[in-house]
Amino acid sequence: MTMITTAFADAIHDSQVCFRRLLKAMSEPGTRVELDRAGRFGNLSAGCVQTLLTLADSGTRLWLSPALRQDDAVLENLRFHVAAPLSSDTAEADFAVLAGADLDDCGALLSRLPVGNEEYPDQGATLLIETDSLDRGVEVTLSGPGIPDTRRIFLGQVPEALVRFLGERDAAFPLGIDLMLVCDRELVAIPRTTRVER
Amino acid sequence: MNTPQRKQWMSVLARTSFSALQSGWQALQLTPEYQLIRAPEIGLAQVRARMGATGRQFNLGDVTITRAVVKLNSGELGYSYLRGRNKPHAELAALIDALMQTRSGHEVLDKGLIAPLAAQRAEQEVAARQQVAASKVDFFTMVRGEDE
Repeated sequence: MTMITTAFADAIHDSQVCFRRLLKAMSEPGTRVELDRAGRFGNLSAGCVQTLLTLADSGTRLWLSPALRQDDAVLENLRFHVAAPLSSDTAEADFAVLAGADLDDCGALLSRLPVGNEEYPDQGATLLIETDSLDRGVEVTLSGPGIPDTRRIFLGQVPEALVRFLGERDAAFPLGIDLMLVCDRELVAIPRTTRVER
Repeated sequence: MNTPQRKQWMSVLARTSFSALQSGWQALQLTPEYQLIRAPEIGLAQVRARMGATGRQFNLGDVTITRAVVKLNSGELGYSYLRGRNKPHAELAALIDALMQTRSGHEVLDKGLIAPLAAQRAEQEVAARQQVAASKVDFFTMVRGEDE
């Protein structure tokens, strides 16, 4: 029996709404946005689903963490609705999705994702991380473009390796990866321009 | 599922005029419950052809294509691809494709809708072929006896 379910009911307008909210999240780092136009695919959260529906297509390579790769409902729906080619090699992904269950492996992943090069820094990957909460857990201070002063946010229960990575990465700018933390339908972005402190 | 058979009914659904399909469908008075997985959408496809069916390939032109996918509450997925921009037609064709995959729906629809439409279509094709054949011109050269 097929596992394909519905995605955006109105593909054009729903993806425009989601795009606008993602733009807000990326341009005002640390701001929480809610994506409420489509539901989840299997174990993949609604926030990740809608981000991929909006931003990914047949021209973007997608890497999924092992927990998601083993879920047929996720694979079938992504193939049908997004049509992004799945990549087994982290080093050539445009979008990467890290499920909550695989969060402990994030150290290896963060060092393997492409960061772009001097001519094309835009080729750096976008990493979506599913976290358990945006109201509790590790608290960090964000500053940089799009943030008037500083902004304090919670990342949920994330491993120490991720926090350390975020704290040390500004040396490589403009190279780097853009990060989105997703909790169910809610999303917070930490683009590469943002300085993260404990 | 029987793929050649499905191909045949999908072809009938796509090539029958919408009015004929709709009146045939309404006469059956079925009210299945379904959801749209892929709402009808219009796209463009390039048609390629071969001169005389054997020559080199060339681009004949572009056609608009409408496609849709529906899912019955029992889980069957129905697909449709058809030429033109008729969204209700695409949705109805996808729905009938899904119902044709269910046992009960297949019996009703095959007898009540697909078979008559296919017969009608075949009749039209024969008529068109006869019309073309009547106006066919065969070119041949008369032997004029100059070489003797």
